[in-house]
Amino acid sequence: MIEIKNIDKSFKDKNILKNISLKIKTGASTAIIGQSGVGKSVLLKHLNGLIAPDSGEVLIDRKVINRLSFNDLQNVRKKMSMVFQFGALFDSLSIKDNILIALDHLTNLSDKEKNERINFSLSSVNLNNIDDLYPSDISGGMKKRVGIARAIAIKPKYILYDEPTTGLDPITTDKIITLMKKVRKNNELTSVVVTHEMKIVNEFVDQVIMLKEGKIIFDGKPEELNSTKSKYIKYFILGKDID
Amino acid sequence: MFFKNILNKVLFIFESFGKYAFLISNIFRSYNSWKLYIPNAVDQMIIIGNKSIPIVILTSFFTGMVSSVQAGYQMESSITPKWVVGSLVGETMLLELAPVITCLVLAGRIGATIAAEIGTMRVTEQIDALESLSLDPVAYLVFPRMLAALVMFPVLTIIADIFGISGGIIAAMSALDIDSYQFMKGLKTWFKPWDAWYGIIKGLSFGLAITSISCYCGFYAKGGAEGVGKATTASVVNSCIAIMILDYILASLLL
Repeated sequence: MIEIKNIDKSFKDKNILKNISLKIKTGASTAIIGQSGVGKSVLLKHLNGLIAPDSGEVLIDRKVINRLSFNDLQNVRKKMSMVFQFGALFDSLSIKDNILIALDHLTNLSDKEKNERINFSLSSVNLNNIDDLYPSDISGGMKKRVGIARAIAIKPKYILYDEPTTGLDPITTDKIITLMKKVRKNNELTSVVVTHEMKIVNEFVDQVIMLKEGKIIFDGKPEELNSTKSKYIKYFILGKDID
Repeated sequence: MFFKNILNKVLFIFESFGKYAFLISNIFRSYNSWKLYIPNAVDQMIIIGNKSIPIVILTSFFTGMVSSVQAGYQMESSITPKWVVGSLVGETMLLELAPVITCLVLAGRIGATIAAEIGTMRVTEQIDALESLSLDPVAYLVFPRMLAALVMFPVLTIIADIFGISGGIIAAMSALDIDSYQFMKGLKTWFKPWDAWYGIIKGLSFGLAITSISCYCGFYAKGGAEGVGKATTASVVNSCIAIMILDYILASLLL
């Protein structure tokens, strides 16, 4: 289970997160939504310790990860994967090596098993015969899919998505959402996704958390979000001012 | 307002030193996984070492030639025998010019490459991706480069010594009418093995400074392409300053 208790985070004089608390149940899929610059990605990066809070606690499976030593934090991260906004593939490595680097470090598989795992992960995201290409040789959508393949290759318990569909066309967006559903179904994962895409909110998640000015203004089910009476939330969902 | 700006600058300098020391000390944090990164260190040795050899040969060769011609010019009207040129060229190359000129050139070539590469990884979240895969980014990115610098900078300094002195001999023979026997006589007369070791120690120290400063500038880059540009510039400028300061410190301590 993921739990956040009263975290605050500031960068220089700007207070990004203010007294945030939330719980994400094991096996659930949760969306974090809100306007650009509201602190969604900052909140997501707290979950795997990429950013430490100024105060408060981040608990993963009841361990307070912001107080762990570097090596203990690394052990917690072994259970987690993250899919970055633009893939964050390693430019100097081929697609195969981008996945292999994770397997080399996090598993004790034989070379044959690693190759099988790479092929399985890439075929899961509908990418075949691109093992020897480099990130610069493939499109933005393909990079995101390779990012997902890298994330699922290590068979994590938790998967964090940072805006997985931003900047993609509607068809590729649909394919990515279908892929996220498939990944969740096949691996029984706990998923947390930062997104602006209401299709993800309506089709993929069980819980929605909405941020505004560094605070949680909504924490509930997608149906509850859609039936809210809050003007601001309706404006966000519909993309137009209802007044 | 003026004093506040000065105070902020001073705080920024102390903060930078602290972050630099923290980054370098973190190399030892994952010492048990160093063996995993040895192949990366070999790749870096090729980038830092092999690919720098042509520029090191070119700069040291011409530096040796210039120092030979200038030494000859200064002795034109003196009673000092011409073979002393060999001694002057040899000593200046071994003690100062080979390590300093080589490392100043490499601060541009290698320092900029390292800062731009790591900086780009930072702003495109590749370093975050390494961490999220529970890899230690310092062990993965900084350790192999430092190891490569440790091995290759002394080698590059020796190459610069050899080609600098060779340039000096050729210039002495062609422009000063000194034959190679006379040049070598001058070279041997005041030669001390420590001088060669001193130059190698300088090359090693400068190399570690260039590499660590460049890694630091890249590692803490922020703000997209502009940030990478600033990190690259900072790495070259700070490396050059560090070379000059270290040059004086090592001369005071070791000579």
